Amino acid sequence: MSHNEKLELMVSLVLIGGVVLSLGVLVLALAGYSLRFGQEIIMDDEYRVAAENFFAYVFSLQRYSFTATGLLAAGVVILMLTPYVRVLTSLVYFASEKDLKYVLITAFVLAVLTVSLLTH
Amino acid sequence: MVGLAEVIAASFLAGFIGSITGLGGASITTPLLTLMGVPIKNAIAAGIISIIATSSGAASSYVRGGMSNLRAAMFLEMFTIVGAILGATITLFVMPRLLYFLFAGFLLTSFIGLRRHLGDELPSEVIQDRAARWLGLTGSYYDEKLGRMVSYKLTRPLAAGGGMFVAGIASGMLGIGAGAFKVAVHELILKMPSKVSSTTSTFIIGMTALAGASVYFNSGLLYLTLAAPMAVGTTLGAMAGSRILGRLSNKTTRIIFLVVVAFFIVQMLVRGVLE
Repeated sequence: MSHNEKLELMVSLVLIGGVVLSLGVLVLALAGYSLRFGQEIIMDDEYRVAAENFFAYVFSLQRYSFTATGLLAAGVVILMLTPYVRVLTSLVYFASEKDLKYVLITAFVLAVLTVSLLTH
Repeated sequence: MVGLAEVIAASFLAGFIGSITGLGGASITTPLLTLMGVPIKNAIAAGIISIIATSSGAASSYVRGGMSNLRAAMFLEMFTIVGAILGATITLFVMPRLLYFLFAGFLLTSFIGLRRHLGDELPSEVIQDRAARWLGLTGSYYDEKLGRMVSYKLTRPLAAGGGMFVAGIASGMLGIGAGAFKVAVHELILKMPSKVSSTTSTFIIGMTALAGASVYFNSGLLYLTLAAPMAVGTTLGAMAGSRILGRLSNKTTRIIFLVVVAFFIVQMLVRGVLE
C-alpha cells in the first residue's frame, strides 16, 4: 500500500464512519420526532441550539439522555465533529510518517479550528 | 410552515448537485427553503450544517482512488479557514447589499474563466513551480469515462492559497461553502483536472463550513428540527451524486457547474437589488 493510499483509507474511514453514524442517529431521532409531532417542523426553544461555544454544547448533551431532542443534537454534533476528527487523523498520519511539512500544515488547521470552536 | 418531507427532498437535490459540482449546496437550499417560508437567517445557519453533510458524505467515496487531492486540500485549507473566520467577523460591519454584489462579482470571474476552458477535457502539459514541487503536489486517478489512469501535476499553490483566502472570506460572509469560487481557483490557477477540482472542493468546503458554523453556535439561529432533516437529505443526495460522478465526462461536470453558477449570479444580483 503506497503512502497516499494509506492516508486516503484512513481519511475515508473517518468520513464514512462519521456520516453513517450521524445519519443513523438522525434518522432514528426524526422517526421518533415525527411519531409525536408528524410532519411539522417546530422551531421553539426546545430545539434551538444555545451554548457558549461548540465544545460547551457537546458537554451539555448529557442532560438530554435518550430523548428525541438529545438524539437530534447528538446527530448534528457527530456530523460537525467528523471534519474535525478528519484533520486530527491526518495530523497523526503525517506525524507517523515524519512528514514535517504536512505535520505543520495540519497542525495549523487544527489549531485555528479549535480556537474558533472554543471562542465563538 | 414547511414540513419535514419537503425539507428532506429539497436537501437531497442540493446534496446531489453539490457533490457533482463541488458546491456545498447551501446556495441551493437557502433560496429554496426561503421560498417555502423558512426565515432566511435560520435557513443559512442550518445550511452550514448541511454543507458539512454534503462534504463528508461525498468525500468519503472520493478520497479512495485518489479522486480528491488530499495534500493540495490540506495546504489550501490553511488559507480558507482563516478567511472564513475573518469573513464571518467582517459581516458584522458590512452592508448586506454590498455582499450580494461582491459575491455575484466573484462568481462572474470564475464563470468567465472556466467557460474559456470548456473545450479541454484535461489540462495540457503543466510545468510545476518550486512551491508545488516542494509540497509534492502531483496525483493520479482512474477516470471511468476515459477508461484510463490520469496523472497530473499542479502548479502555483501560493497564488491558489490567496484565492482560497478570498473564497474563505466569501464563505464566512455569506454562510455558504463558496465551492464555485474554489473550483475556479483549482482549475485556473492550480491546473487541476475538472473532476479532481470538484471533488477536492467538496472535501475542503466541509472544513470551511465547520469554521463558519462555529460562529453560528451561540447566535441562537440554529434549530435542530431544521438542521436534522437537511443533514439527512443532503447526505443521501451527496452519496447518490458521488456514485455517478465518475461516469460523467469532465466536460459534462463543467457544463452542469456553469449552469448552476449562472443561476447563482442572477440570484445574487436580484437579491442585491431587492435588499
